[in-house]
Amino acid sequence: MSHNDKYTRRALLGRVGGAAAVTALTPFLPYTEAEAAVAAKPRYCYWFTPVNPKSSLVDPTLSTSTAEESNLNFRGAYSDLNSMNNKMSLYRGLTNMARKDGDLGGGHRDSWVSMLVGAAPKRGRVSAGGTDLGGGAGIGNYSSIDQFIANELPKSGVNTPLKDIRFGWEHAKDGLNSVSFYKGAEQLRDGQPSRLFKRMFDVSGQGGAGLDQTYKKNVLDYVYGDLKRVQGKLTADDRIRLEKHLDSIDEVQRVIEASEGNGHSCNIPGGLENNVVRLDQAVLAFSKLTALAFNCDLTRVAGGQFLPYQGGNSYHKVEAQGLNTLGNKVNATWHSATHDKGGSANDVSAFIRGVQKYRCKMFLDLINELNSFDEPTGGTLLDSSIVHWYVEISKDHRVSDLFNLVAGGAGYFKMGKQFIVGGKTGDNANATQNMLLTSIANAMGLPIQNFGEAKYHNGPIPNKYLA
Amino acid sequence: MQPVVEGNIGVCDINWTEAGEWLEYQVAVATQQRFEVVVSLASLGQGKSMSVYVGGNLVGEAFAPALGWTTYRNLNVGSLVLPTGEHTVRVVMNTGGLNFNFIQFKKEVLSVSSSSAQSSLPSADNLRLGRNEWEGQCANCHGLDGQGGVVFDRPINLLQKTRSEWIDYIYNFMPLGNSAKAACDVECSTLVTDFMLAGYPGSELEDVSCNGGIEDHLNPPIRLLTTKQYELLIGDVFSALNLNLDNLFPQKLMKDSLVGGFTNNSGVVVDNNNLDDLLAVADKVGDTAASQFSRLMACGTSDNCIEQFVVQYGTRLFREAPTNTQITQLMNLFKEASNTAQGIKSVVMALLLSPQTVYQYEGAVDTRTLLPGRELAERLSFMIWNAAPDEALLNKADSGVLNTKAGVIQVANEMLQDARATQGLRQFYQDYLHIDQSFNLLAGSGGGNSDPKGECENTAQCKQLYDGATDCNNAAGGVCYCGNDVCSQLGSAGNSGVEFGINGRQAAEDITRFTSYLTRESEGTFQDLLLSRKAFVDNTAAKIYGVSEQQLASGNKYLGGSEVMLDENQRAGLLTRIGFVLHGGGQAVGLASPTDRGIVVRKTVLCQELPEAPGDIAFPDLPDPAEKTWVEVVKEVHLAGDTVCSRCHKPMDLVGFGFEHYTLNGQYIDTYPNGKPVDASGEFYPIDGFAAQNLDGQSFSDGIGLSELVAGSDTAAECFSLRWVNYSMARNTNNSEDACAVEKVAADFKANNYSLSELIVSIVSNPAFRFRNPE
Repeated sequence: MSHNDKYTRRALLGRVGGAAAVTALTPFLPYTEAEAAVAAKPRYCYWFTPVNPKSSLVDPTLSTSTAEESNLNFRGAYSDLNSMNNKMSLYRGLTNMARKDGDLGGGHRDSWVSMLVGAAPKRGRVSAGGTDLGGGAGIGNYSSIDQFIANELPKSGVNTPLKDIRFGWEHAKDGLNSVSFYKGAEQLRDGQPSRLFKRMFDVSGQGGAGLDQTYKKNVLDYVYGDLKRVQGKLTADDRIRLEKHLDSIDEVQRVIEASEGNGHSCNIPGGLENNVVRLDQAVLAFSKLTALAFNCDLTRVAGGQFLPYQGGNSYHKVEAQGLNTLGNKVNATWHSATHDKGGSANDVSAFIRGVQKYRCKMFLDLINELNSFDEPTGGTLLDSSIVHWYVEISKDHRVSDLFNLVAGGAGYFKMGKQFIVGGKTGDNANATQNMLLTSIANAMGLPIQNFGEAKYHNGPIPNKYLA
Repeated sequence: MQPVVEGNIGVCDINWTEAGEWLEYQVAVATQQRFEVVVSLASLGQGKSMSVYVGGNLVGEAFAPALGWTTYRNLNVGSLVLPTGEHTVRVVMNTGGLNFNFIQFKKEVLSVSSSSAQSSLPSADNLRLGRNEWEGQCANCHGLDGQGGVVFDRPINLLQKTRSEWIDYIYNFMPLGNSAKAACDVECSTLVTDFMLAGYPGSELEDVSCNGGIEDHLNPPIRLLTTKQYELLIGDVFSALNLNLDNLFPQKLMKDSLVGGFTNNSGVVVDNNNLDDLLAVADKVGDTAASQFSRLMACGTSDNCIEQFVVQYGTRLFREAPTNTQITQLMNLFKEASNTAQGIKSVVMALLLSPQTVYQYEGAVDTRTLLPGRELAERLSFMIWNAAPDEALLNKADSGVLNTKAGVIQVANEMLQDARATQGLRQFYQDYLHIDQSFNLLAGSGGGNSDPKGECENTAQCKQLYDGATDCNNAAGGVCYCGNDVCSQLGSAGNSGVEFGINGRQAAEDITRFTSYLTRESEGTFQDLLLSRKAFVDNTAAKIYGVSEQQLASGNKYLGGSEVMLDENQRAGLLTRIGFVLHGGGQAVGLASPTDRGIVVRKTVLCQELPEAPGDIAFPDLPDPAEKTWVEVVKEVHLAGDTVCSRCHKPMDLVGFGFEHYTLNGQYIDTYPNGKPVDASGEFYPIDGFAAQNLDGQSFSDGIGLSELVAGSDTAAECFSLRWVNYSMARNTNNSEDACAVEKVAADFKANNYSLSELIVSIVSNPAFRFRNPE
């Protein structure tokens, strides 16, 4: 459905599944006439879901083809993806070599930190202002690809109110909060659609006595000045850390200006429910907000991280919150289930299939949303975007032949294909995850030759896999 | 005019001032130059100010500190260039109610230091040199400890001057009659000053560098106050507004970071994620303050009253008085608003969002430096109370008490006696045991879960269903209440398979009562922590521990629990309590994973590292736990033979077996649900590269035996003290740079017979806690 002029509250509520999820989105205006004349703007959105099952119980989901290039065709629990397989490609064969050198204890932690960064988390490598990922380990001064793009685009004259948006579900604890890093520092995310909504449109300060935006800017100006004064007293490391605080104030100021009519071209929707407790509703709302942010050019970079992994919000608990696609016979976190724990073999297998199928639905919700907007330059918003679904661990907990599904492609990635980059699915130091990250940057108009830590450099994805 | 109080400068000061009164002075300037104008003021109340004019032009305004009529502070009014010649200086009382000691036109300073409390201590050697000078030239008049001697029979008020002013003063005037400035030159004056400001260390000068080196420990980075700390600060400062702290962060979405295993936001700053949270909080408090301002200030909403508000509330939020610049800018926010409510809201928001409010930080130093009193007070307070320092503590800091090791020990002991120390202990043990506040185990064996409904869903009580409510009957058909309103009714019982429900908050409170009693009330030791049968139980804990209603009713009350002794054949200390044994959930109904529990013992209690499962392992199918006990399953799948699985799992699983008597909710069982008897025997299988003294190779028959072994282990005691150091220093101290401090604390812990309270005192008196090194 194309709905540049049909994005009504009724339509939103209908597709979300009830008034509980989105209460007051109102029609908004798309891009302006003037913008219609400009060239397509590439956008990037990562989409991270942790842990592919290592279980022997799992049905095959990928094509059986071992050819370096074949038509994209999913099987089993992933079959629903075939409905959009002409607008996505699977880049297999890539290995996260950086994970192999990590000091976080192997397994998931090293991999999910390094997947978008292309550098190994090492002890004694916490940068000034960087995040200690545990035991004094950090990723140095490296940034993840989303942050690299978000911070490089302004240097190319692309100035959006928000550098990027990040969102997701459940924070992990003790140092592994995010897959997004800027110069070694974790970049956290909005855990509720309403929070992201506020950040996009600056609707805080509207309640009670309210606060005129001018005064709010004055308050932030004061805080900014105070920060500069405090900054001058601190160590060099702490001064660097406070830059992030200063940047965040700048960003709010830009959003205020945009919301006052000087910047973006969208009307502000009315609001969102404060606390969405159902994962499916949250994901759908995040997807809509991402499409909104891209379409209104609030930002060119987004990232979704959905961690139902372990703890209170793992999938078996999500089911209890109203998600009906999963069985309730398994009493185990997602991570435990991928190790075949939590119930009988049949029950665990059904649970895993249910989660996999649901993950496909989540992703389809996003790309369908993007696909429903027409671009002034032709095609849809999805066609102008790179939506990058990845998992940090492939089948059997390997870090080779990783799952990297690229949708949209921004005219840069060839669509409708399964590629086995480098021709093999085992460990492949000649086809690292860094190649894909480099190509994503290139697709966003940033002409870099390599990305991440030098020892894992091997250039971008070869042209034969690109459009 | 009144005679100055002993210890203050000069002969007289001016009291009983009224608004509008003024004094004039004629001054002669020999050579044109820039002067810094300083006045010395004292007051009992907030918002008392005076202004200084030269030649009819305003130089600036200064607000007197509300520290008492005779506790003067030197306040910078401003600076100006005065041409050669005579000038008229007028001092005008803007308000009454302040005492005025002197006005000073300062030409230059000798030192770069500008903080009276910032005692720069380059080395113990310099302190010794300073002591030599003191004993040779000063002690006769002032006493060896500066508390009074032959001529000057009272303590010197160290806060009377900044460091540079003391150096200047000693150089110019000391020893008495040193008009030639020869007896104590600048170097001597500097050494004496630093010796004084270090608190006149005794004959055995403290070796402030742990191992004789200068950079013997790392510094904690800037810390964003944790959600709890921020809530407590706002709740305390704005107590007159009766704010609902549960709703301050409506969804508790500002996630705190753990560094070194503890919630401390170490190195965390406001970013574009949590700025929204802070803005939302500031917005909410600002609204309430604007609509109920009369509860905060009785003086109305005049500019003068708002300025008093800025000073009074700013001082509490900032943990120091706002500067004149800040006051001016905050007042501008008020004045530029279109109406009074928006003006007040703007000011409140600015105060709440100020970096001085939201951060804990220490300034950069060029040399090894004793933390200024207020910074040290903050460290102590956020550690021991998990809250910002109160006015009384800050006053102690200002008095110089914290400048000495003995003073810090005294203050720390006082703070431990304060009820707020329970907040700090709660935070430590909650993090130490990894108690997940969102853990919520419902009772019952059927299906279905609690599901908050309707209006109740948004209430604080029902929100806690996600964090762990206490007022819910989680049995089939059970009703959960929010106050008097029915929040939810369970169609059927939970599927946990346990008889009594438990949640993370209840588990944390059970541990808090136990550990607070041991630490604060009974001089408890590490061994008591692991072996004591004493408990303070609420209704839920009583059911789980099998405590009779009679015992519950008759026990002495402490922190909401009743004092009881648990069954000595079933329980020992911490490791057999609810807060520990709830680890390992998500396995067979009602039972926990011995692997997960073993991992917690190894990693948390013994500070050992375990290898993560290597990749590319073919995981075997698991037997049905309904047919076999989990111990049998684990032995069959993990431990059989000498395999890659068994080599990894023996160190964890064999330890985890010790907790088999405890179901996931903490109840004690002798038989499993399938009727088989519990076998809780196990051993400490050695881990390559991580020796555990007194434990490796030792076997036990159950959790009590395991606890007894741990209680006698040096490795466990050292690990426990390391955890406390991490918590106290707000960072991971398990590194070579911090090794000296960590080892010293562990040695003190042992020397003090593993006293829990002495451990805390030992840490805060350690140089690594009190001093800051150059970056």
